[in-house]
Amino acid sequence: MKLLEAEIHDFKSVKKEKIILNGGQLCFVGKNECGKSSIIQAISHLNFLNYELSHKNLNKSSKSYPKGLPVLIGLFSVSKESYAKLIEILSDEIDLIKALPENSENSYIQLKRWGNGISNMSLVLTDKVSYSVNLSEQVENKATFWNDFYENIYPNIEYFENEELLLEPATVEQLLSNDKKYETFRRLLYISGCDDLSILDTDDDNFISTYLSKLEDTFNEILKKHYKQDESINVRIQTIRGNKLSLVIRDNTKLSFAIDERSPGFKYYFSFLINKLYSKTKNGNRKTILLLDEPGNNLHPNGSKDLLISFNEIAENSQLLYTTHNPFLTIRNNVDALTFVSKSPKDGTKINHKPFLNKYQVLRKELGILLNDSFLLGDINLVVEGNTEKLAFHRLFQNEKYKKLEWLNIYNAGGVTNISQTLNYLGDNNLDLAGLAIFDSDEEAIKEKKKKGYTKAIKNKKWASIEINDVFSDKEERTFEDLFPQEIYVKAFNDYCNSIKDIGVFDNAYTSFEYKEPIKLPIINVLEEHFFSFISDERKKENSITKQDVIRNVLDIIDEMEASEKEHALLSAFKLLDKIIIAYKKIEKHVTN
Amino acid sequence: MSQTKLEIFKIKISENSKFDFDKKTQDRINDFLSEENNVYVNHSTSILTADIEEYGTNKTINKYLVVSLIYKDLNASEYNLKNTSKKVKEVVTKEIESGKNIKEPNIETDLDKEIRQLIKAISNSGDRGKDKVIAPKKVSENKTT
Repeated sequence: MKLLEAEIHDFKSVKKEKIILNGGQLCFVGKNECGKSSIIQAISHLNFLNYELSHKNLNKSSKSYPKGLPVLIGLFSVSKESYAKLIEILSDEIDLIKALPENSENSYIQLKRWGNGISNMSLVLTDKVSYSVNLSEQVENKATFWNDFYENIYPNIEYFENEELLLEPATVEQLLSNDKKYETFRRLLYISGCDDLSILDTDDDNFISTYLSKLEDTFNEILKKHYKQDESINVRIQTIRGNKLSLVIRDNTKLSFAIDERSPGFKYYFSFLINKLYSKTKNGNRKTILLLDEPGNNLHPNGSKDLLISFNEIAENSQLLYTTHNPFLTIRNNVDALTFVSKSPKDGTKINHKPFLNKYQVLRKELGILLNDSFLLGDINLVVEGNTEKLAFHRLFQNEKYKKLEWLNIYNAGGVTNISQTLNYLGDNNLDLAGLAIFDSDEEAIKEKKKKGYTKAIKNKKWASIEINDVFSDKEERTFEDLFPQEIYVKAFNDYCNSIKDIGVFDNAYTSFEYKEPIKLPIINVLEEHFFSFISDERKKENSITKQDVIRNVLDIIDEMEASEKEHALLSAFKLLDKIIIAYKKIEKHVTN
Repeated sequence: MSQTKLEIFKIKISENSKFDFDKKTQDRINDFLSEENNVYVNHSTSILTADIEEYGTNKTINKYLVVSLIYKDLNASEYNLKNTSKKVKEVVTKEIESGKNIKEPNIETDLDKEIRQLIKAISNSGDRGKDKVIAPKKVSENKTT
């Protein structure tokens, strides 16, 4: 089962909000006290057996204040396997089973929770087309049903605040307590073979030593299989002064470090890995939904970057929802996974699902990345025309070869016609920063380059400009989209159009563009013509291709390719990055600090 | 529906008025309270006395302490906790103890709307597929455990 939507009613500062998940991850960004944590905490109550709803959590403007309770609703998709399992646990409910199809790949479950206990919940199963059953009302043996449903089908929803997830050294007493701070250590011992922690509660030191050594061996075997980054890694579980249990990690440097001596990034990554393995051992095929409130708050930007990588890995098999106000922990490559949270006295906490609109302005502002805030504007900036380029460069810089460009600040000018003005602002007239401007090779770019702001800035050795045609030998008109093989771009374009055809963009049924022969440059003009041929004249103005979505598809397709094919597909893009590196090095010499 | 029942335990009181809490009675109460399908509701106590004649005078002595335990028996109910996890036992027991059954709030989600349309479409199409749909029951106002 996968969480698709969560609806929150009257939980703390949230009056009514709906959260939509488009994939494995969702990142909530916003100021302190805006209600990010309340959202995550509210969702944790979808774990109906672990988290109790309380009057204390009720929104104070709710009609049922002060005695009522918040309401949580989760909408889940049900996989073919989960459906089969559900049919299995309902096998004794003869009347009910008759109403359900034998198999289903497209079913949904909606869980509504308005109180504690199993009577104050409802569970509806439907495929939206041929059947719908309110299971919570129809099942005869409620307690057994909820038990089996929770244990075998329902996702394992886990909530961790701040640093709770980090692996901390612990005494046996602490391990035996309910303190969540030591949960990761308990889980490490569990996956190593210790399913009863009270075994450790003994004064027999010899037994403890041999027992821990046995657990160590098992854990190292598991680690070798799953910690691919460094297969030489070896872990020892040690007792510190006969009291606390701690971990000592030895890696390929042949040096040993206590877990607390390792970087926070490693600690986080390692803790995640343990939780991931635990989830796999304990929950089998059940999915995990991990809810993290401000994880890695104290991490260095590099540690944050590592943490983002581990988030991506977790999101491959599980779902991850987290809050942050750390700009380095915000998801960069998938704009759908970024959600902006704000709060007003009248409406309480509100969610903006499309913070990327209006050039991410709302996010940049809330994360403290203001235009005037030169702290986060790099010394050397890459000025690009729009979001498409910004998104693409972020992803292209992830390639090992171009990692050095990763921390280059990519500044979105918000359209080609704003580039000269941006250069004027960032240049010696105002902030006196350095940078590179990337232009398409088209009419608009030529016009822009004639403007005073541009001509003045480019005279300065701290500024340079590159255009798409710099990596081609002819003088054809080209835009950023022409950097990628046409066949791939067409496929990505068709994927995009097919993904939006159900949301009322097209007036006529969309048919994919067929790529038969090389398309006249720039490719986007031809595809735009195809796109608008399905939209009536009066609605043409309201619609446009979201090119950043297409470019994301392009890069996703390329990511899936074999190394040699990938290299070929990115040939022109990499040539452009090489040009950027050369220009960057020249500019660097003129940047004083 | 769970049934409310009564169980009586008799504890012998010795002549010096001390409770003679024999192991057998103690185990019986413990077993009773730890039985997963018995949920404690309330209890009352009373003392059984006897009038005796001693050295020519009548006197009343305490014979037994009677503890009456009122409990909900979940065995024959939809809340039967046999073969359920510790978590489910805790949640259900707490629910029965608090007796809190809250009326479902009237919130219609997008999926509820779609289901409403689906039910309408199927009922308009006659009997075909009718058995495939079990419409949500109306939640009664005074649902009690």
